[in-house]
Amino acid sequence: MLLELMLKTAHSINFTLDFAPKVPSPQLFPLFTWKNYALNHFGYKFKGDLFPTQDVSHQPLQAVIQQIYPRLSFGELSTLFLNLKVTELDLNFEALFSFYQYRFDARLEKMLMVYQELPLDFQAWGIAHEISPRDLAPLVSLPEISAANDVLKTIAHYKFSRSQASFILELAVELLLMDYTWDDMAPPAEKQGMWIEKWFLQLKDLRFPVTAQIDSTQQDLLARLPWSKDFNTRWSRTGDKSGLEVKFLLTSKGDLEKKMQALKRIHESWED
Amino acid sequence: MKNLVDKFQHVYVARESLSSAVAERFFQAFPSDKISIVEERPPIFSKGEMTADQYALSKKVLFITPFAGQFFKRCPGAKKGLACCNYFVLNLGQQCDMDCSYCYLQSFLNTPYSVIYSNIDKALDELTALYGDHGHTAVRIGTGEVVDSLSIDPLTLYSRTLIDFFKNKPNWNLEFKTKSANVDQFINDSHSKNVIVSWSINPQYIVETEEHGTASLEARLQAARKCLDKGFKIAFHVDPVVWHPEWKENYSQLARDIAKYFKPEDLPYISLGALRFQPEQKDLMRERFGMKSWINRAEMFKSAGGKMRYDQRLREDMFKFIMDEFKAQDPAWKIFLCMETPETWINATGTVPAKQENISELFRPIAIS
Repeated sequence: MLLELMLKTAHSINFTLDFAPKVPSPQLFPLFTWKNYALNHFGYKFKGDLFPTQDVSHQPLQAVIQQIYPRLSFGELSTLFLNLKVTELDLNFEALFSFYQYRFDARLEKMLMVYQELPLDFQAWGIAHEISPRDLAPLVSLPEISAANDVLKTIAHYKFSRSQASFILELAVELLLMDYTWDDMAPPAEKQGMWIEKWFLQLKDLRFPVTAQIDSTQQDLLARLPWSKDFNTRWSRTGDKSGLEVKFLLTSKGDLEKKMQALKRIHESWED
Repeated sequence: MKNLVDKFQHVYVARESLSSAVAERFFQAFPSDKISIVEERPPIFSKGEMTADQYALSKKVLFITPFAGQFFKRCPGAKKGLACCNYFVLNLGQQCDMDCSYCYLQSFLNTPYSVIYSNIDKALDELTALYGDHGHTAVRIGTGEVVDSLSIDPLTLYSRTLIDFFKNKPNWNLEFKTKSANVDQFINDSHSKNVIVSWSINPQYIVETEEHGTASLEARLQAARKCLDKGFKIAFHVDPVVWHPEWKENYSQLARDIAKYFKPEDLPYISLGALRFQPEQKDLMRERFGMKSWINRAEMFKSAGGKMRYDQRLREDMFKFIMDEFKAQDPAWKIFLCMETPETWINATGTVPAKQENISELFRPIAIS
């Protein structure tokens, strides 16, 4: 960008494109304006009436945005998109979003608008954790996005990771659509120890009751087998398969013989 | 025919296709305000993933155009890790006018309209070339992968062209796969007894709740009976098997319904396949059919191949139960599992398909590039 600084007063500049970018412009930057719209320094408290600005209207708006903000999360793009729509500035959204690795189609546009309906604390969490439209896609199935506010606020409040959030959001939305209420699925009142893991398990059992029953029956059957204390067993699920994970330590060939005999006894006691 | 015409909001015909027989038939069937000529493609804009509304619209707008690519492709089941059955697919269009909640087209179609290819002659040329190399081998060629073989066949009449083409190819079998009951358009055509008309079937309860716009189970079975009486081979795919609270009663009833119309010697086989879908289509399915659908409520987990499937034990239980129900009607029923792992085969049937006497012939792979 060519540096042709001017001095302008804050009230002569339009700040409506403010999309609360996560990374603010360095203070040494001038205020860039495009057709009198401020493009940076949104959160900056201007102390004097006059401050340095640079008019970049001679460049395409898309190119200027990309130069000032080479990296934007989906949440930031959502607000920027909304603000650009409101101002009716002529912009090629396909090219702009392509720069940020998104394909601008009707589905993405829908997700950009959905983001604006989310609770503000979740929006801030979403920007910090770089949530993607795919993570938020289950929300579109809800008749009212606000039906998911409790779960969204919980995610933000307890600072879940993005993968935890994605997992829980899908489960919660589906449970809501299956007529469960937040009371049915809310996390335990006492948040101690492995409460998140336990809560996830509780939600999974609620969402997948048939499989939970199959697992429980199998688990009981296998637990009744004569395992010696040398074998550490744990029920485990990997995708569409579940079974008993058996861990044991081998110290010698003789030990192997002993463990094989013990496993043989398990085999003999095992009834289909 | 009127029902079919009413299903579509508009038909666009590419100028290139104007001289085709299929375009001519559509111009005869559709009122002039519902059909128009376009130079390139319909004036419907959509890029990337479709929204639920766009997807719904894609079933109501039809485009007749020539296909520039290769018609003949190998079945998606022919992958490492799946037990597959020498099935090849011939795509004569894309998208389907019916609307099953589990339809796998939801995972990959991004064209905002349905398509019928007007150059079936090119497809037949490809088949002729392939027959030159593999005419001696038993091969099944199906037309129902990305379109239903027969649902709009009363308009296209492609079944008649294909039946005629297969007349002198005794080692090859042509397989139509449908959820419609549209067979009258070819039922009186002469054929070489190498045409299999197959139906995806499910209990009437699943037809009503999940297979929107399809023929009833009864209508499908009656159409199958009609075909059998005219010397066509028939087959049934109980696919997808869908878990629901009354699944045992309903699939047991299905076995009885089939046994009411048919004997085991009437059918080369019945295939079973449990519900499965790509994880990517879940969002669209949920948006379009909600959580009252047994497909969206299904307890699915990501399998080794990447598809979402029921728990393996549940699949085995369902397969075993359904097989037992058929065998209880008559032990001679020939049943195989479709798109399943050898492990599931063993647990449900006690063996792998290649070693199962009555169906092993179907599982002898041939090499086709």
